Amino acid sequence: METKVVQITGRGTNVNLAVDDRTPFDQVMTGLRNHLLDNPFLYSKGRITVNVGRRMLNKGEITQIKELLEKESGVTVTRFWCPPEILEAALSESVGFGVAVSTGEKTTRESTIREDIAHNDPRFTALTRSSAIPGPAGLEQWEAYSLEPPPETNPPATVDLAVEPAKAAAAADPLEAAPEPPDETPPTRAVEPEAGPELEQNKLEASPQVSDEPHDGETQDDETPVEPMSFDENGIEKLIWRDQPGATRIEPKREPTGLNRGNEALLVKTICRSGEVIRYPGDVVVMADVNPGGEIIADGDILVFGNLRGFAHAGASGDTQATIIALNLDTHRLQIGPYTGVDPKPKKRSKSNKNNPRIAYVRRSSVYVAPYAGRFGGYSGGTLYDG
Amino acid sequence: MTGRTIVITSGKGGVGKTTTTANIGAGLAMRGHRVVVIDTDIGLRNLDVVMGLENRIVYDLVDIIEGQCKMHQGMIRDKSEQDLFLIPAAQTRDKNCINAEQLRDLCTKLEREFGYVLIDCPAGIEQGFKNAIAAAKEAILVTTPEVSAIRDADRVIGLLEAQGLHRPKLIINRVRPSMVKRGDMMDKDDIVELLAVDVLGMVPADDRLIIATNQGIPVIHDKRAPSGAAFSRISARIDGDDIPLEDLYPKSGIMDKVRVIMGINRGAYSHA
Repeated sequence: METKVVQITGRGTNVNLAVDDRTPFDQVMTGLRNHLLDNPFLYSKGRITVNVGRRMLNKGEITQIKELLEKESGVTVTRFWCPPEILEAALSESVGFGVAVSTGEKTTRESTIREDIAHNDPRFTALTRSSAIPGPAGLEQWEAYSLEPPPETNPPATVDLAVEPAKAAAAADPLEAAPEPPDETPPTRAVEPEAGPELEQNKLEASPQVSDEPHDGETQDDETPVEPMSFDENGIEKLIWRDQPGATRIEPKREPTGLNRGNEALLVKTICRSGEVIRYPGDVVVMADVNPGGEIIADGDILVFGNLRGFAHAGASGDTQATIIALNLDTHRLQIGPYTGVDPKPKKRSKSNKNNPRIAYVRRSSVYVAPYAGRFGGYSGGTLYDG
Repeated sequence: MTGRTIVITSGKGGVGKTTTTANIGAGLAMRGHRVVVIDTDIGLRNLDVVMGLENRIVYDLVDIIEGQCKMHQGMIRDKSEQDLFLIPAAQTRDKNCINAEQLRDLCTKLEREFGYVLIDCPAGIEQGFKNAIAAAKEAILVTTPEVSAIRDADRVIGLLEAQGLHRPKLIINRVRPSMVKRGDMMDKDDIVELLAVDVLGMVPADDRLIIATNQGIPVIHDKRAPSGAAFSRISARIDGDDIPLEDLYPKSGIMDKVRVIMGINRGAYSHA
């Protein structure tokens, strides 16, 4: 039951928690609680996105989910999400939302405060909240703020939660917890403020640049005169009015890579064999081989003091400055950040002691592999792994 | 008597687990140990056929575990070896009708009476495999010099180590010395480099083994079969004898040595 009600997709910094949208809400809550209690180690920290599917949740329910998640685990709920077409349908029908947004007229519907996410552009996700303030003066209001595009590395949609027992035992905590994205702006905080009165200040936030949003009209909410405000103390972008002249999408500035990465590296002393996956939100040093079928996925650099024959993904959170260094870089496929490199001409198997250490790095959006010449080798050439 | 429980596994099917089990069991029994071999491939039993004991089966492993017969009733004595017994698998049941604890308990009982308890593991890494390795204290890994078998062996080593069965011993089966010499088949060194485990022995590909298997006589009884000799040596090594690994493909000629030095007899297989 729990597994059906709550599903987890994504990995790393981009964990999605999907709740079934047909089950009754109380069952969803029970399932979610059981799921959290069953998997306490999965959610020790990090941010999480809740996908509500086709369900239209009202404000109280969303608050309940958020409180449950944050009480039972250490995560921070950052967004609620639903498919864009659902949101559009709901918005255009003006049913269930209590908003008649396109004309900007008042709405006097009962207090059905709905929250949803506009997800109009896959590159540009934003949270939308529609609200109808109860009472005669209830006006809806649109707010928009920009949000960083999703990280360029779109990991596979399904997270392999069944990590190898041995490795998982060694590294369960840092791996499984959705790590803090080290080099990207935190996603927008999309959950309610805690204070009660502020709950009434629900905005309908939409992606500002998206035109297929059915309701462009905007009216001021006289009950909650809201200034465009810095939405979060953690460096979240400011809200901007959608019709504000010159309102542009704020590009999140990427922090310099490598700075926020922890100094701690994971030291792997056993062979990473076929079927074993080592994920770590930092650097990984393997003092043995990585065999075919094994995977190393690190947010930082990867060093292999041995044969690298499996799959290695450095900079898994999007850091294109990450490198992969191996004494015998003998793998067919590499990935650094979002860029995949495939060995152009897989050679015949060679003895490891004949190979010099090589380094894989990214130059001009391509993965190159060159003989390793030190940390500051000034790499510019090498073999292009054009997969 | 405290016996050793050894699981013989491979991951990939068809590499010779059952044949190896039968021959090692016979080899250890010939060395004077009391040996019992257990077929845990429930639903696809083969070990009785390989040992030629198919028509003597009355009770099977599931009957013993479920208590429908006494332990000794379910054990079949080998035709030629007085101290070799077989516990056959059930053919009409499936792998889920026993669990790891039951098999572990059975092996613990057997260890008191037998010097060696050999578990023939089913192929794959599903429940039957988990049952089999849960009961064992040591593991022997059978592989063939093929990339696919070695890939599976690599995976299985990882699973064994996760179960606490560290450093399984490797038997390389169906080695063709002539192909290895030409560089068309993986060498022992290539396999060891990848798997990083100790090699217990190498068994050459042998027509006599196939004949013996079809007759239901372990090839170890065939004094003229090279594979039988290899199994004898493997049994001796399991028993603690220090027998150096045989050189199945002596590189005698001077050109061979030159090739080895220059490393140019790497052959057609790529990227194991």
